[in-house]
Amino acid sequence: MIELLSPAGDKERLFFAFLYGADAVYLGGPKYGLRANATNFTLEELKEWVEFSHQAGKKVYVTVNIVFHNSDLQGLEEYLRYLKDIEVDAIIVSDPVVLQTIEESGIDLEIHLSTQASTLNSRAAKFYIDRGVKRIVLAREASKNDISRIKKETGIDIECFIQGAMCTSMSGRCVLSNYATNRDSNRGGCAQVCRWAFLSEDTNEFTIMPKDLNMINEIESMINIGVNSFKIEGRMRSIYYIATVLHTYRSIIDRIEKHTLTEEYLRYATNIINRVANRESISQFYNSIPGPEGEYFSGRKEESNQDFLGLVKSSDGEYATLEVRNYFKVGDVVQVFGPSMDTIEFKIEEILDEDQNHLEFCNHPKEIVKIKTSYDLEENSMMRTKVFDIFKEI
Amino acid sequence: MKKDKILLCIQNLSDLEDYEKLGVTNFLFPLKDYSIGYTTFSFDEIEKTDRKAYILVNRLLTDDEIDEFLKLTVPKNVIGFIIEDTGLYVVLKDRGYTLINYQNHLNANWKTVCYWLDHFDSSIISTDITEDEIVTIVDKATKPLVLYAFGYPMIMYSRRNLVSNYYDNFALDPKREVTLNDPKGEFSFRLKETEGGTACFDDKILDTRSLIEKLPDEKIMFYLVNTEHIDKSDVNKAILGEKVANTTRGFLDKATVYRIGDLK
Repeated sequence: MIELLSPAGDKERLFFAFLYGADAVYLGGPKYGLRANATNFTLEELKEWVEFSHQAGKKVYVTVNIVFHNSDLQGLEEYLRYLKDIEVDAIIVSDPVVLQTIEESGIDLEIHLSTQASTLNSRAAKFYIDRGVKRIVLAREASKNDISRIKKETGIDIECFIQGAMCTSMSGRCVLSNYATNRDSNRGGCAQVCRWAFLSEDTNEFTIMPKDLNMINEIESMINIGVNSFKIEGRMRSIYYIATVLHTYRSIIDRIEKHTLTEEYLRYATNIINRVANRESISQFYNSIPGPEGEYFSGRKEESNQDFLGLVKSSDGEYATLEVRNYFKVGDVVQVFGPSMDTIEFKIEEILDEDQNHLEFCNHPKEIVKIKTSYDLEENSMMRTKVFDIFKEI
Repeated sequence: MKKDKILLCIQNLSDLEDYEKLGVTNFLFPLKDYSIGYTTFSFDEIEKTDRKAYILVNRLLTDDEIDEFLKLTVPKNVIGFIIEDTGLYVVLKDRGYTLINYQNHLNANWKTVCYWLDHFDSSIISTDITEDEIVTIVDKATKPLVLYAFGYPMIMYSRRNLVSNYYDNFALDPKREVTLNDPKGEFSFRLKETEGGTACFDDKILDTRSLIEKLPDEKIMFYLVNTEHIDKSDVNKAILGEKVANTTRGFLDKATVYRIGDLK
């Protein structure tokens, strides 16, 4: 089975991830994850949302992937037992102390080896397989050839990142943040120093910042070489980003399975993904070690837009009720995509506020408004600015 | 530092004799094409030194790279390997070499260190932890460990060619090494590109020699002295127990934090 795996930084993101096509989510609990400054889930919330996920037929993987210091060891076994008790589907680990604790304590938890272990070869993979690892999240530096060999020579379940930010460093091998800010990168405090601009003898703006990863054009190839799980990076990204990325990759995987994927659709999907991401992206190490095209060299290049116009709360075939996110006005041409609806496009003819007053525009985030539309818009579908023509099947 | 416990990572083969005169008997040679950020040597060059040699392979390898490594003939004077890649450990483990684990930043607690000691003959202790943490790790370790005693610490490495990519991008004269400075002047680091990618070193020499008296001698296999990028006169001073300029105790007295609210 091909698994589409989404980040879930909090309950709202988890909900939208499943709604928009994720088969599983990965998230951090209150301890031992690499997003120490994110909202994360409390123990009680973890239990609640694991149950919710299982009722929806979805899986939850919990990150336990810090590099442990002596002081972090206390409480690890109890935490792992709790994760077992609430029936998380797997934990994602990098430090062997977690493997050892599970083995010594007889805790029956499925173990996925984190990308922090930077596995690049089948011999290392076999080492971990022999120690109970059921899936390996490969290093983001693994090429097509590397992935293919690891799969062929081990048969292990393979998870690969397909979309999102890259580290400059090999994962887990960077303590720039520790040195520059005293924030421990391998315990969730990474200050992303690799995205800073530095002075050198030749320039006053030298960055070593990678562009993002984008594997849209390689999904079919990855399926063919045996990748099992396709992972999206970004536990702190917005619901709009998560929904757009999942919706797009889900449609690509579905088209591959139905043998209906076309070059035209890939071009369309690439446009959509590039638009929602705030950085440029390429396939990074998949085909070869990236040269200058894989990096930014001067300053932080991140562009945001206000494409996400509103979240559809309900619709009756005449009016749709929306929660506003960004400015739009009467006369705008917009597009709406939803969990199980194809993208549609229409012109906004009329906007009403909650008291049925006519509005020419709306610009208050979270304001509830109604727009007139003959389409029956799906609850939790998202309205966006029209930037590209919608894709029409030939 | 007991001289016979120094493991000196060599930068120039011509320096071997001089270091031997100071009492150093254990040498570490970064292996050409398999070490990152260091001056490297081929097995032929290492064989010609006619000295007991430990080999440094401090990067992660692909299957193809391990296959190429296995085609090399390891000289008879090689007695051990210091390695990062777990796959390389798998192919070397039954060949009679002393194997030392060098997953530097990851060996940060005593249980993990002991885990690897079930497989390796020793481990290099993380350079990112406090004095108290190191003392505990050494105390609880099941085999003698290696302390990074003196040398520029590698604080990041990338498979990308971060230096030449920059100069290529702007069509500037090629370089493979550059120092980058924080605009506020608070820190700087040095990027050095070699085969296999780019290593990043702190701009201060990590000097943990003051810690040695707190560690039981029998629990230490080696004190690692990394000469890379350091003047020979300063290396000599380090060997002789003298003070060296531009050094730091790193994190020995300064625990890292990971929640922004914990920053002081």
